[in-house]
Amino acid sequence: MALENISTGAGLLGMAAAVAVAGSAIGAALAEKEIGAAAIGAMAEKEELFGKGLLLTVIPETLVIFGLVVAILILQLVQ
Amino acid sequence: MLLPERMYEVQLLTRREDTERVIAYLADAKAIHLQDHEKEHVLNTEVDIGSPLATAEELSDTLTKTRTLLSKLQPSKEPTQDVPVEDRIARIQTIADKYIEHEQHLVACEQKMQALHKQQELLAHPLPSPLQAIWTAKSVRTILVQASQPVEVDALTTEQAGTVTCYVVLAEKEEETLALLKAAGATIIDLEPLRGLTGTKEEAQQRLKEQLTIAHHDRHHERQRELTFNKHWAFLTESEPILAVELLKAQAPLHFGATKRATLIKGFVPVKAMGQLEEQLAPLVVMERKEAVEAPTKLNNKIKSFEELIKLYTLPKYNEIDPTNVLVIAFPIMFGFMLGDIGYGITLFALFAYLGHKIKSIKPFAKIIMLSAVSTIAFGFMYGEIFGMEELFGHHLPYLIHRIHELPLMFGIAIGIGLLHINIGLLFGIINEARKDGIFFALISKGSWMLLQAGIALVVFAHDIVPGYTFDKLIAYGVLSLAIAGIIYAEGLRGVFELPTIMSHTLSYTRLVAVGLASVYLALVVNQMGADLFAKGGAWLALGFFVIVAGHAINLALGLLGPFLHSLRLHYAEFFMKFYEGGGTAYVPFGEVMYGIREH
Repeated sequence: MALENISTGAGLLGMAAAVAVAGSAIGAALAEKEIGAAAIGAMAEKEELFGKGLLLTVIPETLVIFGLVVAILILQLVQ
Repeated sequence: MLLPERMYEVQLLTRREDTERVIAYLADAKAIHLQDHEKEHVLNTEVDIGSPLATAEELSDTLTKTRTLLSKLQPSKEPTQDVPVEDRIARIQTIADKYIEHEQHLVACEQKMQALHKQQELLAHPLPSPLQAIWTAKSVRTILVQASQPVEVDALTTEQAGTVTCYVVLAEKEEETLALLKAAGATIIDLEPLRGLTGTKEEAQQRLKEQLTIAHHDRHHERQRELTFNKHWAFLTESEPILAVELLKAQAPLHFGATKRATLIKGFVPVKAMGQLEEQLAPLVVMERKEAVEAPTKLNNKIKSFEELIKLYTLPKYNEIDPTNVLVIAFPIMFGFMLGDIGYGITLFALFAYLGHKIKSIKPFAKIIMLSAVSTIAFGFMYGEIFGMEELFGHHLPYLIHRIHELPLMFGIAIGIGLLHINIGLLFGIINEARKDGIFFALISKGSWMLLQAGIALVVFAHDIVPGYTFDKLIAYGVLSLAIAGIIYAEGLRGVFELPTIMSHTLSYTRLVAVGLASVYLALVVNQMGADLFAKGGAWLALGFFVIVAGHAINLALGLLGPFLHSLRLHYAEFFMKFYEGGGTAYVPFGEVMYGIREH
């Protein structure tokens, strides 16, 4: 699809989808950074905490998934 | 099936002289999980903690030596023969003694060589001749120093070679000279290592050379001798677990209660193993048993490999539902739903069938992946995808759902899976709570969450959001309110804050589609890049081939990591939170040597 064929509306929708993914990914990354560091610290003390550590680390990951779902829903509007 | 294996709590009373035989039986049976005895008074008799058998000390010493030897020796494949434990101990002690002697020799050789090298090094410097004069001359002193610049000193003779200078000074001037040299920044070289050398420097050097040759030879000999110890490796490797069990037996009385005449053994035995144990021990002990209320957890499932995923989180308590069986079904389905590709499925299956066969430690993990790979292949057929392609040799693959083009349907299915999964969790929650606090509270605390879902659905219908469905608003809000009231009753105000989780947890399952899409798009990109390069022809063909292979390998690695972690997470975070408490202690039967976790 040539660039001039994309309407302004479609472009804005594309931007909206990008913001949805980028925002949620940055949010999740910030959260996971802190939790991951703490989880590794806990695991160094007690190896059995791997399961719980993994669980806590991936909890914010849902944010990105929501962002991705929202992005996909937005992109559905373009078609 | 749903609960961990049922146990009896048992107490065995035996005569003191029979204790050793009882221990031997128990260790062979590998059925009882020992419970530590605590000092107590029974019928005015003090029941103290038992003391280890006489052999314990020797066994412990031999086991330590065995492990030390094993850490030093190289593997070899000498045949071993079956020998009694006493002979094993004697043989290992002899080997260890010889090895220690060898090590001492080797250290002595090394030290000797070091000393000789040091002497050789010193002899390279200018020194008076004969060498014994350094020590025998009463009126003069020899001082050897290293200095970047020559220092003016009142010396009888001064000999310099490079930065090192040898001064011979009058004995009474020694202190004064040393102070002068130190002040000038020179380093005094210790001549002590040369003590004992006689004759000229050349003669001494010649003698040193000969001594070094002998020392070299000695060290070589000791190193060769070390290799001869390797022939014991197989014997030691075989002995190690045998000794470990023997030591376990010898130290077992530390878990028991003991009086002058009797020994009291307490522990837990699986119901299944009870009959045989009772039969074997009947002539030796008085046994009392009752159904356990609290006991260590022994998981009891047909497919053991998935138990590893439970252990990774935390073991269920004795009275808690063991979710392994749900994992066995739900985990591969979620994995396959995400990855869903015939090509990737077959590759993963073949790869992990090979790896699981080669590396023993990852066998349970490999089994989980292989089962998930089968589900991936099945979903691959459903989506009609092979390595991200929908067409093969110009033919469109048949499919049930086209996941890129039917996204709303895919999201619907994912949320459906989520609702089913969460409600199974809530159902388990009702059972767990009912066992703990009674059925009434269980229904309110967990049932309300089920009712909440129904309430939300009814409210949606009542507002005519879904065309073709409608419902009475009053009843809809009534159901919703009832559910919220139930949650607040069971969980207090905290429950109010938890309310939105029912939505977020359900929507969390949309990751099943999202993670899958990421993998599909990556595969599509790789295929497109490959196809573009192929179209150019010539040398580009090779690059195209490389892009395709490397791209799919990366995508497969991501496709293994992503779906695996996300399936696991959906279980740990969304599913387990509905019912799982965990924190059970592992059942470790006496007689089994556990590496890593030594609970006894």
